[in-house]
Amino acid sequence: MEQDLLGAAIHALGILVDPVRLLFLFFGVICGLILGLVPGIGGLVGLTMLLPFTYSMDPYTALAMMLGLASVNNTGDTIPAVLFGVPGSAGCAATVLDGYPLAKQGQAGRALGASFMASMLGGLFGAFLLGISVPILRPVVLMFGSPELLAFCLFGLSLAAALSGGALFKGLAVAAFGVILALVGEDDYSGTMRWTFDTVYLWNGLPLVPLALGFFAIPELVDMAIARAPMVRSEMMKATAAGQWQGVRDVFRHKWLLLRCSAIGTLLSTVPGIGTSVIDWVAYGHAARTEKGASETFGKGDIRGVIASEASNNAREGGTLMPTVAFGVPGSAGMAVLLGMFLLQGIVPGPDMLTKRLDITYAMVWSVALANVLGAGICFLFANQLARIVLVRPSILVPCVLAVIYVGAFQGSNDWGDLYVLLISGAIGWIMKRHGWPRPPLILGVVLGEIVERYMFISVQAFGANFLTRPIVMAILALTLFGLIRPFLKARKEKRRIDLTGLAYRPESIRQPGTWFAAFFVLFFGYVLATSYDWEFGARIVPQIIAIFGFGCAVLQLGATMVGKPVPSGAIQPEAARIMDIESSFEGLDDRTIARRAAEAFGWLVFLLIAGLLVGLLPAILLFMVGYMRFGSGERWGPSLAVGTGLFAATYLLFHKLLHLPWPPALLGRLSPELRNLTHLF
Amino acid sequence: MKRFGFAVLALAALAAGPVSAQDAVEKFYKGNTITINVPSSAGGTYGLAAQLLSQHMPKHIPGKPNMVLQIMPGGVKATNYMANVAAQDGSVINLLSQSMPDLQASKAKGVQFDVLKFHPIGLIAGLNGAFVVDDRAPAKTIEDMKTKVILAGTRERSDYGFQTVAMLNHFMGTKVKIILGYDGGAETDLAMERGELHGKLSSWLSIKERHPQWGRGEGAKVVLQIGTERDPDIPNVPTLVDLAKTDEQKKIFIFLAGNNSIARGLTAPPGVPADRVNALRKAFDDMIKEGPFVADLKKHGFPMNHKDWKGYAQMIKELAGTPPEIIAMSEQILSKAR
Repeated sequence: MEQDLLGAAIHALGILVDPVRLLFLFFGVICGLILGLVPGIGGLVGLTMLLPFTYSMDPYTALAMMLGLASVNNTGDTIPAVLFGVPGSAGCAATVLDGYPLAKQGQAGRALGASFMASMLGGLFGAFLLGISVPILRPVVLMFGSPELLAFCLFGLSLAAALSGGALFKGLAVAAFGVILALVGEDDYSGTMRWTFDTVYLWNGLPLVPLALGFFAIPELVDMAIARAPMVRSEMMKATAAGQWQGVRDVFRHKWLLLRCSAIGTLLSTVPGIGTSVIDWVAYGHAARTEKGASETFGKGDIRGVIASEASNNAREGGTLMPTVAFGVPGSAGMAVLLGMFLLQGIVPGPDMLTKRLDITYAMVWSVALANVLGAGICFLFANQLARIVLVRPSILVPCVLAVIYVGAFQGSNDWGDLYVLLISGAIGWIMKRHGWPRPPLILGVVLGEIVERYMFISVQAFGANFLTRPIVMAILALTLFGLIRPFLKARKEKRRIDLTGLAYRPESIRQPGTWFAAFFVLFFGYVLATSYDWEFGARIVPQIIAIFGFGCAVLQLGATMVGKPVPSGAIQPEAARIMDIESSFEGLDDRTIARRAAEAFGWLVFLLIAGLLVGLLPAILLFMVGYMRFGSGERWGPSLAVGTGLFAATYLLFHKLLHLPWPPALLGRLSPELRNLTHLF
Repeated sequence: MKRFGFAVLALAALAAGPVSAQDAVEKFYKGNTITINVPSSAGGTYGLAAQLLSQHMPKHIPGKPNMVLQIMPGGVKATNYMANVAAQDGSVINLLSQSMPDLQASKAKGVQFDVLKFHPIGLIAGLNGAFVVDDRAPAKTIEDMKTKVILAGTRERSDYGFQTVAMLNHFMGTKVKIILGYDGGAETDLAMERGELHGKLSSWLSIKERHPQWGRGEGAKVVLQIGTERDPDIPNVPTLVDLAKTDEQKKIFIFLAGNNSIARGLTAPPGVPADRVNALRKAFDDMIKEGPFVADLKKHGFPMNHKDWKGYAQMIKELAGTPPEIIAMSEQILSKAR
C-alpha cells in the first residue's frame, strides 16, 4: 500500500511539472497573492473568477491553477496585517496583534520574513499531512460526528480566556458579546427572528467580513489618523533584507511552536464550518497559553505570535482538502467552488479519490506544496519594496486603505447593511482598543457562536444526552476544562490569595470611560435577556445561557472598576490588567485632542457612507479621497487629486473591470436609471 | 413617385428596425461580461448548471460576452438581491431558486421580490427529488417508517427537505424525525455515512452525481421520489403523488412536487430592457437546438425536460398562483411540524 501511495505521489508530481501546468500554477499564485493583499476580497472571489478558465483545461492544470490561488491567499494577506494593522483577510487577524507592533518598532522586515517562512512551512506541513493520511482519511473523518465537532468548537471558544490576557472578565464578556452577535438572524430550529428589527439584512445574520474589518482595521486606521505621523520614522526603519533573515531564523528557533500551530491549523480545518477566520486565533491562543513569558510580551510585538498565526492559517489548505477529497464536503466556500469544478470535470470526491484517482489527489497535494513555496518566494522578493509603505504619511495612506476596506466590506453580503456594520463595529472596536478591552475573544465568539449552537442542536436531537458520553467528546471536554481551571490551580499552588481588604467605592470611577463601557455591556446583556424571554425554547436557550454568563462577567468587571481593587492577585487584575491586544498610545496628545481627531476621522467615514448612498460607492471614493486629503489632513491640491484619481482608477479597473464585483445601488441610480445602465456604477 | 418614395422609406425603416435593435444589443454585450447569480454553494447542481451555461451560452448572444458565476448561497437572499440590488440591464442574470414561487405564494418572511416580474429565459431541467435511506437504517421502506423512527437531516424549516418530509409524516403517518442545522447537502451526506442520520431528501441528480454507489442502490436506496412524473432512471420508485389517498392529499402533493418541475431555470431580473431579454431567450433556444449543451446536460445526468421561456413562464405562473386554501392547509401542517 505504502509503495502504491509513493508511486502515485511520484506519478502525480511527474504530471504536475509539465511547463504549461506550472505556468498556470504560477498564474494562480500571483492572483492569490494580489487578492490576499486586498482587505475583504478573498479566495472565493478569485476562484469564482478563474472558474470559467478551467472549462478548457485538463483536471490537473485546472487544479494547479485553482489551488495555486487558494493556497497562497493566506500568505499575501499578511502584508497589510503587518504593515498597517489591517488584516488582508479574516484569516490573519491574529497576525496583526504582534506583526503590526513589530512594524511600528521598525521591524517590518523581520515580521514579514517570519510570516512568509512560517506560512510556507505551515502550508508544506498541511500538504504533507494530507499526502500521508490518504489511507486513513475516510475512517478518521468518519470518527468525528457532530458531538465531536461541538466539543472542538467549545475548546476553541474556551481559548477566549487565554486571549483575554490578564483581563479575564472583560475578555469573557466580550466573547459572550461576540456569540450573541453571531446568533442574530433567523433561527434555523424554530424560525424565530432574533434581533432582526424587521430588516431583511439582519434576517440572514451578520456577515463576518465587515465585522472583522470593523473591529480590527478601522480602529488602527483611525488611530493612525489621530497620530498624524508615519508609523515609523525613516531613521527607525531597520534594514529590511537583514530583518527578513532574522525573521526566517526566528521561525527555525521556534520550530516546535511552528509544528504545533501547523498541526492545529491542519486538524481544525478538517472541521467544516470552522474556517480560516478562527484557526489563527486558536493557534495564537494556544501559543499564548503555552509559550514562556507570553502573557508579558504577546500583543506587544512578539515574533512568536506572528509565527503561530501564520503557520496555522496556511496549514489550513491541506486540512480543508481532506473532507473535500474524501467525502465531497467543502471545508470552506472556496472549496465549494473547487467541488463545482470537480463535478464539471467528472471527478467524484469520495472513496475513488483515495484509490482509483490517487493521481488527482496527489496532484492536489503537490499543487498546495508548490504554491506555498512559490508564494513565499515571491513575497520575499518584494518585501523590501512593500515594507517601505510604513513610511508613507497617514494623510495619504489612511484614506487609500479606508476606501479599499469599504469595497471589501460590501462583499460581506452585497448590501448597504454591510457598510453600516463596518462603521458601527469600527466605532465599538475603537472604543474597546482605546480603553483596554481585548478584541480577539470577540471574533472567536462571532465565528464559533453560530457553529456551537448548530452542532449542539444536532447532537441533542440525534443522540439526546448520550452525546456527552462519547469517548472523543469526553477527552476534548476534559482538556477544555483543564485549560480553563489551570490558572486557578496555579494560583492556588503558589498560595496566592484574594485580598479583600481595603475595598472602597471609588467616586472618580463614575467619570471614567472604562466604567461606562462596562455598564454598556451590563445593559446589553440585560437587553438580550429581556427581549428573548418569550421566544420558543429552542431559539432562546443558547442566547440566554450566554447572556447570563456575559451579564455576570460584565457586572463583576463593573464592580471591579468602581470598587477599589477586589482582585485575586494573579489571574484577574482589572485595573493594571495587560490585555492581549494592541494598545493605543498617542505620545504627547491630550484626551481632548484625541477625542476631537477621532470625531473628525469617524466624521469622514460617515461622509464616505453618505456620499456613497447618494452618488454610488465608487464615485464617493473619489470625493472622499480628495476631500480627506485636501481638507481633512491639509495636503495640497496636486497630490490630493493625483492620489484620489489614481486610486479611483485602480479600484475601477480591479474591482469593476476585472473582478466584476457589484456596486451598491445609490440614490443617483434610482433617479436616473439611464445613467446607471450606462455606467453600471450605482 | 412620391408614393414610391414613401414605400422605399417604409421598407427601409422596417428592415433597419430589427437590425438596429440587434445592433444595440450587440453593442451592449460586446466586450461586456454577464454574471450568472447562483443561489447555492458552487459545489452542487445549481453550480454545475451555471458552469454549463457559461460554457455554451455566450456564443449565441449577440456580441459574444464573457460569462462568469456569482455564488450567493440562499434562495431568498439571492432572489432579493436580483430584484433590488443587481444591475437591471442584462449584465446580471440568475438561476431562479426552485422554491421561490412557492415562498412568494405563501407570503414567507423575507420575500422582497415578485417572481412574476422576473423574465424567464428558459428551463434547463426539472429535477425530481429523491428520499434516500441508508441500508443501516432501522426502517428501509415507507411502510416500515410508520412504526419505526428514522432520522433525516436538512438545513432549515424553509427547505423542501423539511417541508416534504413533514407532509409525509402528517399524511402517511411515518415517523421520520427531522434534524435541522446541517449546512448543506454535502454535510447531510457525510452525516449519513457516519451513521448519524439515516436518510435525506435532495435532488435525484445530486445523489447520482455525487454518490454513484447510492444511485446504484449500494449502501443506500431511494424509497420515494418527488416530482410530477417518475424519473426514467428510477421507474420503480413511487412518487409522492402516487401515495396520495384523497383528493386533498393529491392537491398538496402536486403543489409540493411543482417546485421540482422548475428546478434549474434561467431568468433575468425585472428591469432588463425587452430587446436584451429577447436576445437572451433566442440565445437559450439556439443553444438548445445546436446540440453540444444538451449533450453535456445528458453527460452529467440531467433529465431531458428543458423548456423554452414560454413553457417555463407558465410553470412559474402556476406555482405562484397556487390556490390560497392549499397554501393555508400546508402552512397549518408545517407550523405544527417538529
